[in-house]
Amino acid sequence: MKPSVAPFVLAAILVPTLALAGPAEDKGLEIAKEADRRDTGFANTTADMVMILRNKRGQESKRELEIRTLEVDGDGDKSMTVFHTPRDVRGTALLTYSHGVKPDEQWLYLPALRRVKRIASNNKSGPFMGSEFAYEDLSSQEVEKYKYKYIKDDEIKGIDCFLIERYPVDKDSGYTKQQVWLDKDEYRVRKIDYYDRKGELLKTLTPSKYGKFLGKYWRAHKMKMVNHQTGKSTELTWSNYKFKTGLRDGDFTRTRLTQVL
Amino acid sequence: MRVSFVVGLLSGTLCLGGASRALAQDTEEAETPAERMEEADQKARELQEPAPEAEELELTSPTTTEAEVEWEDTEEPTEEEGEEARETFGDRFKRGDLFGYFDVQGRFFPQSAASPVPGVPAPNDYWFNGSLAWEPGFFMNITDNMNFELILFGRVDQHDRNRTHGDIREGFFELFFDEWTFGFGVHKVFWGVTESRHLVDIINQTDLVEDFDTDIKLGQAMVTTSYTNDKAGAFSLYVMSWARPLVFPSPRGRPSLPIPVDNDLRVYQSRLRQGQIDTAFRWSHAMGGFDWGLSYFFGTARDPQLFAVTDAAGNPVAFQPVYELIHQGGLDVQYTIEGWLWKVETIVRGGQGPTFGAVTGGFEYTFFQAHGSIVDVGVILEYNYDGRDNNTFILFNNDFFTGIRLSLSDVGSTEFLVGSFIDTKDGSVFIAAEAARRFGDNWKILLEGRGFIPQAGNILEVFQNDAQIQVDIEYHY
Repeated sequence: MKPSVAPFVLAAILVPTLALAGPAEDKGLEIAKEADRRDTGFANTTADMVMILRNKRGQESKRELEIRTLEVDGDGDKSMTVFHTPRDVRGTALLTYSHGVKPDEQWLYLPALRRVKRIASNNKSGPFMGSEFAYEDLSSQEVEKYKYKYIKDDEIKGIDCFLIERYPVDKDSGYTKQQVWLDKDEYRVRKIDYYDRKGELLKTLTPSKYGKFLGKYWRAHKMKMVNHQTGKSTELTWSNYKFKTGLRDGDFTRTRLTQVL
Repeated sequence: MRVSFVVGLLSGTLCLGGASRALAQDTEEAETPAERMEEADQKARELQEPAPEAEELELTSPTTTEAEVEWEDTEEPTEEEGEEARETFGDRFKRGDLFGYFDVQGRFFPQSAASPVPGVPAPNDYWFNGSLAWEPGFFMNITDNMNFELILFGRVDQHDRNRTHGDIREGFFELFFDEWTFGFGVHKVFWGVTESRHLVDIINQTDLVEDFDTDIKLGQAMVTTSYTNDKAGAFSLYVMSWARPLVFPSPRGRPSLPIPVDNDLRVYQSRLRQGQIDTAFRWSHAMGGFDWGLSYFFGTARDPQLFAVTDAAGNPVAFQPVYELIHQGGLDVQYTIEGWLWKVETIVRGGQGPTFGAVTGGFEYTFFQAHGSIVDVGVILEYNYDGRDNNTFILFNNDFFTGIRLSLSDVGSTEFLVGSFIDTKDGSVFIAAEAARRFGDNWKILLEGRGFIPQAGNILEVFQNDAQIQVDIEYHY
């Protein structure tokens, strides 16, 4: 579960076999591929994330997580998510091997029982920790997880953007489509509108406070997700992004899952 | 008394943690010249013969911190976000993280307790039992390759002397390198996949006075090493000693056995008694949808056989626990596909009378966001078979377990679980229902109800009147 949504972190294979028709589809795919290409080669990252959940009445609830990501050549990323708060789930950790269109593999570590549990990974549309982010919003964003269509050039807060639509390939996805605004300068995500299974507008994501790392990789430090249907919102604040930290395959195993804290 | 002992121990070990950190720093400094030499050496080598990835590495510094971030000019970060000298979550562990919880527990018993001796009131005939517990923990990432964790536990119980107890759940140093792990100290290890019974899991003694559902374990002293490889899986070796005796609730505890288990009378098959060295081996691997585990244990049994001790008149007055040396081979497999988890655990054990086998297997299926709601509904069905037919304390000789789990995925992580064991031979039933929810960021409330519906002659008959409702209010920090 990586900083994904933000800079369109797309690792791995760019399967050229997506059968698409028409120039709008081709252009949409090209834009997605370019965004992916610009974010390839980061090797590995670690980052801290604070999640603020707000309900309609403005009551807040906080979660703190640590996220480690490993780029895998020719496959989806591996990631480890470690919970620091709320304290009753402190030390709970989630290991994910994501695989483009094949189902992901996920293990959950429960520190109270010292138990590593393989869990079903088809829970794409479920809320992550009670937040407005679904698991699929936070998981590794591989190019082949969607079909694309270029809509038009548009502006977000005076920034020139491409507006594309993408349609999830996975039948377990909670969305029929997503409208994504990417700025023309750097292919950073500026806004995503999520449409639910009934085709109605469900949520809007607004990433902001982009910072550039290693002279190349853009990461948003704030992401706000507003649920239009419930009035609830979740704000993510990212900090301490670190790149090329020396993490390797051996740091993303089930054995290591029990040792993170 | 026990609490102050626990506090003493904690502060003692905290000092120890500090000392070892100081030590680690010392050694770091001490090694610096040597490290420099090594670095110089390596540089020299690189000059002669650049490593294939050297070019790539030169492009960037090995890590980037916030200080080196270029911010996009369109949105200058505020001061607060700009400098970011903030401590990382990882740093929290370098400094040492204190955590744990307090628990206030009440158990309510609607029925009066059955008396073991007719005419004499039962010693555990009360309608309420209160208790307090504290589980303080300390974790430290001493170096990038070394962790230390300490978790203590203590409970003070209103009625049951045996339930007023303390334990070192963890006191464990762990060193890990790429594929190898070394650990020593007091530790907990869990093996297995099924929900209703943990057959394969054998390293730790059960903390039976905490809860008779056998999920809570005592720490076990051990030295362990493991090798993990992507292709071959994980191989672990455990060498253990000082296996802890199984402590049963006293006659004042509820529920409890009608005749007390006297641990002072316990006997060991091993000449070394508790000093017996137990060994265990495990291989585990994930291949596609399958998670495999293969294990072997040789040493003192964790679950003793109980033999009745009689007085001069031939009336049983106590149970004597007998700890035999056992061999146990175990296999656990889980197959995961979409919402299905198919699970099986099986063991073969020799050493406690005739060699026997036992199996637990079944499935769990989850309907995620059932009917478009936020509720995940999980359905569990498992079958338990145990080859021991003459042992009084085997509840799972031939039973079905059915359960329903509701997870709300809400802010409070609300969960419900209802489960029941049904004996396929006589239809006796044990039923339990649990609910848990977090309130705010630190509080948690757990509710649990349990009841027994035994048929005549079933072991559950002794607990017939011990239906209970339990409330836990926990503060986590």
